[in-house]
Amino acid sequence: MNMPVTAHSVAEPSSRSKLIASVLVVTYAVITILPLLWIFLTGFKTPPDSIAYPPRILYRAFGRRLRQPVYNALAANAGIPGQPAAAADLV
Amino acid sequence: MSTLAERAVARTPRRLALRFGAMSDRAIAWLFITPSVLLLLAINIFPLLWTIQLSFTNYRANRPNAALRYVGLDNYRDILTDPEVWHAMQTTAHFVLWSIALELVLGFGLALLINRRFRGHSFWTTIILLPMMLSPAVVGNFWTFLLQPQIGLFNSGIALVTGVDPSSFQMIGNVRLAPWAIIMVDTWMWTPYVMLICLAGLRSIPDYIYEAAEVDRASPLRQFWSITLPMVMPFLMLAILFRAIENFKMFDMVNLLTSGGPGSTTEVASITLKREAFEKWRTGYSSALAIILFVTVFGAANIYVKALNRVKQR
Repeated sequence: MNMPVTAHSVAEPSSRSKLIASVLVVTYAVITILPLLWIFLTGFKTPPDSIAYPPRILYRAFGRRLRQPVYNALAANAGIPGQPAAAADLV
Repeated sequence: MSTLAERAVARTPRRLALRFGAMSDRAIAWLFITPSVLLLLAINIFPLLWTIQLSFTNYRANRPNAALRYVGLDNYRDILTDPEVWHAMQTTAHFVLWSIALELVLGFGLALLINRRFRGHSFWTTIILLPMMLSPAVVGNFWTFLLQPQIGLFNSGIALVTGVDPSSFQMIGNVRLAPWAIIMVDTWMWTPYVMLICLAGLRSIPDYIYEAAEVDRASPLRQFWSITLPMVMPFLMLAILFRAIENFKMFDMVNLLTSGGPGSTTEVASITLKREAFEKWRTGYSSALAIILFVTVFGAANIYVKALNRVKQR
């Protein structure tokens, strides 16, 4: 059976040093990406949620933001007969 | 068999061949570069000459009809004896030195780690590079939001780690912390750039040098001091040059983050220039300040490039 022959450099980093390097780089990358991610998520929040104290994270605001126009339309249609649903979104 | 040039001549339309046939190669070359040269003169050289001329006058842009008086070197003398300008220069130096030092340490460190080529290093390099791809105006705007004491993510993060009240400190409203806030944001944005330059330097070192060092039983520290650092040094110096020039004239990010405040604690030279030119409307004075800043950066960069060439020749 032929074994694959690969060139091995003595200067090749050890697997332990690779592991330490990967942990440090990933930690830095996560810390550095957090502000960007936060701003990205803020784009999905309602105005009150985006300036809430303490700051709120995604899921609650995301769901509300998506459901809000539907609630507005339902409320407008239930309360005032004949009013177009689209107009209620402007409220 | 015809050459490429002969084939090109054969395919040139007769009308064009007649028009340019009589012209020398040099004349045709000038014909092609003249539009670019004219554009360069119009948008680069003319404003520079105009600014130099204005710097010797008492011109104010908000009073265009007022009599123009040549004041000689008075504007330059006033600037060099103005304590506000010297304060702005000190603030600029503080910002430039600290931001470059942090970017260099973090960028070089990251490049060394990424150069270990662990699994997925390309993906994480791309993630780290993201801040660099944003516009400084966008970065200034969203960091203003992130650094708000109550609603911002930064204070909440610090509160989570240290347990202090998030509204107990303000990064951009505090005299002591505001200079560090702009240094932090600049470091966040530009460390990837320094990292990229250092990584290019590290990748350019051939493996056989390290293999020879291993054979000679050189310790990792010895390899770093005798191989890595000297061979990456020109790249490091290039990164310092690029960042120093950029940070010396930094305006947009500082203007959006602090506008030079609180008070004048973060008023870097470019903010002073903007205030003199567009708030106090001292156009002649601000032109002289702009020329002084230009000469400072140009002179320092030239000296630095000479030093860089010496390092490269070693």
